[in-house]
Amino acid sequence: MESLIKGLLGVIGAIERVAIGIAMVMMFAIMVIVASDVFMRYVFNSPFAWAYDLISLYLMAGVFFLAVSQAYGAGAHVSVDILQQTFPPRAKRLSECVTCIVGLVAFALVARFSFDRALDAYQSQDVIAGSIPWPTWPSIALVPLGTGLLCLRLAVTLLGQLASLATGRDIIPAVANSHDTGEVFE
Amino acid sequence: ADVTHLRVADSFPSGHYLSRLLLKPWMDEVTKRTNGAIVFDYFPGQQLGKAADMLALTQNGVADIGYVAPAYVSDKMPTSEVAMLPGSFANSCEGTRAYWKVARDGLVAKQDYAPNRIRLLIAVALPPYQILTAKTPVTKLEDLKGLKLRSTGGAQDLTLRTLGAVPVRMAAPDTYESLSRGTLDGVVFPLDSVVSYNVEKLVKHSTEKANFSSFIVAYSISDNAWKKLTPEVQKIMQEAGDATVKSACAAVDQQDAEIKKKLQDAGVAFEPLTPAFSAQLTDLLKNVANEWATGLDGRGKQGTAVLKEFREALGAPAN
Amino acid sequence: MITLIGLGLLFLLLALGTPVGFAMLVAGITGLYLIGGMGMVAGILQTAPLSTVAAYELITIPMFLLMAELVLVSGVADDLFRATAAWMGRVRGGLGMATALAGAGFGAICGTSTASAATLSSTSLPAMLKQGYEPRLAAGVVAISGTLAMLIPPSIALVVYGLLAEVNIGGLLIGGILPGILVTFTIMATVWFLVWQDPSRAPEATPVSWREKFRLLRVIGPMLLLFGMVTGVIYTGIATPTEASALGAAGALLIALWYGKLTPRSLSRALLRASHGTCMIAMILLGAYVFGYFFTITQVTQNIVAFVGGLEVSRWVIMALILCGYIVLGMFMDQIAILVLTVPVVLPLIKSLGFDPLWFGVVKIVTAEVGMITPPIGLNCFIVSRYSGRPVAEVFRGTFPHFVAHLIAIAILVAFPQIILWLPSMMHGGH
Ligand code: NA
Ligand code: NA
Repeated sequence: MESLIKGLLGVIGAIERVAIGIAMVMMFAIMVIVASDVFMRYVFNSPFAWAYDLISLYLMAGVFFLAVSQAYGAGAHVSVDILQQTFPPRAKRLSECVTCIVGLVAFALVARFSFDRALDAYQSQDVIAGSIPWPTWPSIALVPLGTGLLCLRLAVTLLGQLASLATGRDIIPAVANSHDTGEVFE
Repeated sequence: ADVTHLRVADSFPSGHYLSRLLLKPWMDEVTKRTNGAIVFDYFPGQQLGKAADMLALTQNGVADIGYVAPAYVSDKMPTSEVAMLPGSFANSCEGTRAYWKVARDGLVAKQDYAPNRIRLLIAVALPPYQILTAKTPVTKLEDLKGLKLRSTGGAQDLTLRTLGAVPVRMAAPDTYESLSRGTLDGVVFPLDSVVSYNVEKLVKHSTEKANFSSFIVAYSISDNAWKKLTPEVQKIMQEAGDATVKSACAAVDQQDAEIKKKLQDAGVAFEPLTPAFSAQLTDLLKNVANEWATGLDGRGKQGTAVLKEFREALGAPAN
Repeated sequence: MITLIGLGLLFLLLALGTPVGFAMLVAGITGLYLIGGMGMVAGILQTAPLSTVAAYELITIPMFLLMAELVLVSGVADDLFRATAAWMGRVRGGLGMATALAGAGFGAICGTSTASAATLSSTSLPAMLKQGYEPRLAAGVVAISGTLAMLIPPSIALVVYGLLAEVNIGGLLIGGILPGILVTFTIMATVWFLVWQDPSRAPEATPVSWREKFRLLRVIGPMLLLFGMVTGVIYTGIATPTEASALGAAGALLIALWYGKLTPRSLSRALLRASHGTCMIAMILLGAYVFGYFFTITQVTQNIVAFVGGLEVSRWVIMALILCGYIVLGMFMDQIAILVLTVPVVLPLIKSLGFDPLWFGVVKIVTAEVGMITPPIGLNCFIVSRYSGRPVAEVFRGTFPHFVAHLIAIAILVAFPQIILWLPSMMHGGH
């Protein structure tokens, strides 16, 4: 059980690192594109016509949805843990189980409904009106992709918490390493 | 008595002139004629969601009636753009009448509304957009060369590029800053937006009686909510719609004239296009429309047929 | 009833330590389900997640975060507190006042108060404790000085307000400058008062040579450059606030490069941290939107606002009620969430009472600063407590005098709206 959970966490962690890596590249791209857009407008009187749609359709969605799962694992989503910190270890794990279960339900719904919408946009080949007819489905598909990954992360975390509760061993930490400043990412 | 509550949602700030001139009179009329059997719970100002999400929110019953502006969902309602193409009509009532026809009974109804499971209740076309500039007037085609103009994307991009201008995409509230620093040379705006985004202090020249595009403001009801209404209520809503749309477009045109006067008082010079420019424009803009139509044809959306139908509707006599 | 279920669920989850965004999302979904079944849930969930983040104007969030992270990489921020400390050192309570100044300085390149509090916690807090400052006083001044980052431009909270209220974002950001200075002096005056009351709270610092003082001033250069890059560009209108945020991030990148601190590793770390920050804020935005739609449909907020607006009292009484309401809300809720939940319903009332929405936005942010330091949920106090290892209760006690002083500052801003409105009115012809 323990090795299974650790193995699953390893796999999810690897996928998450790829996803957030792409999100980071997208963030850097936004900076470069917008700064050069201003430059092009001032110096050559020719701003990038594609920048606005590219950024609002794909890049911003990617920056959030491709990072959301890794950010949860790293404890980056702010929580009010003042009460939780006073809980005994088992209660801490139980409260984390509640978070995982409700989060799993909520994000599974988000993933499901947005998957439907992405599929619909793909099948009807929807494009936005404009000089470049960008397809809308890749943008919408980022939602089920990111939240689906988050669901996997929450499911495995839940498993780990339950297994830790059942065995009494610390298979995973009681609380996601919240506000950790020492995260390492290469 | 049985009272049915219908949720109405839009993204206009409460008290906005379009909800005052279009939505409110219609809601009041329906409530009155149903003797209070239909009551509207009105959620203005994006309270139920953003403008671009109104279609989905209406389809899913979050709102029963939503402000579904086709331009914000151009991926789902591409043929409605026919009424926003440049060069097609001279005032709100002309555009409204033609759009009302094609979107209620014509190809636009068949392609934009029916498949999206919504039904058009009321609509107005905004008065034609003008090009307003800060420094140099636009009276001939050469004046547009290299001019940086704020664009909302879509056919407007295509139009500006065809005319030799540089379309710059930005949110409307950013236009003030950009105009004041020459990031923009001008805007393509309906006159009302000139006032609501405060740029009347910055623009000095405006084209007059041109049409560089328009915008369809439309409220639609979901098929689901519609089916739950009795035939009498449906009939009342439609009749109230017919009446309101006529009076609303007239009121919008009236308001446009008043704003024009106000802008003139504020020192904006309205310069008519030279006859030569007018002729060039007609040709160029016809090309924009045709290009738009073939683009849709290529995606199986019958653009050419829609364009033809809309032009016929524009030509049809007012009743 | 459904309203109470939604609220109850929200606070239960928050108490259990569920992330704020998750808790609001779950409570919102539950409420929507109870009102309109799965169809309504589907309607909101198909649209809200994507449209919450997929907007061009929102790039200010990752860009401002990235800018602050890259400044930290460049190392110039490290010297900021040392510089202010050297110049304030000989004054009684000088290190405390230096913390306020460093908070204002760091706030001029950082958009969130939590990031600023974290930075101050790691620089100025240890210095004050080492000097023998009363821990409570030291922690309190660090927590409150961190909040200056959300008032002094760049400010993500002001941008979010501007987007929600459709108020000119450039004007809002510029409008935060003078109140930021006012609040900085308020904090310094509070420190002075506390030390005057009991000098043992703040032992004197060792003097720093003039040479050293001027050497430390060199951090001002790059900081001013960046501040000019963002705020100056916005003030002069060279670029929109949205573009200015990307220019600021690019500028910070160049500064880090100039100081030879930019490595693939440090860059990727800055991007990762900015990405985490973006996720955190966007998740709260998402949860707040969904919860807000639920709350809107129940019409509770509209009814409260209609009730307050209908009171037969002076508009100043209503303004006082609204601000008190915000301070109370700020005790329990995240500030970004408060903006999303309240601005759409409160703003029409504000406008109908004849108040300037730009002025109101800045005043609202000053009350939000208060919320960052009031129990039970005062994020800045948690951060200071976590970084310093001091008990949260002690930090809250230390911020209490600043809470009182802040109320005075708010009263001044309400009484003299020109403090907020003057600078924006000077921007190219006024608004
Ligand atoms: Na700031
Ligand atoms: Na608080």
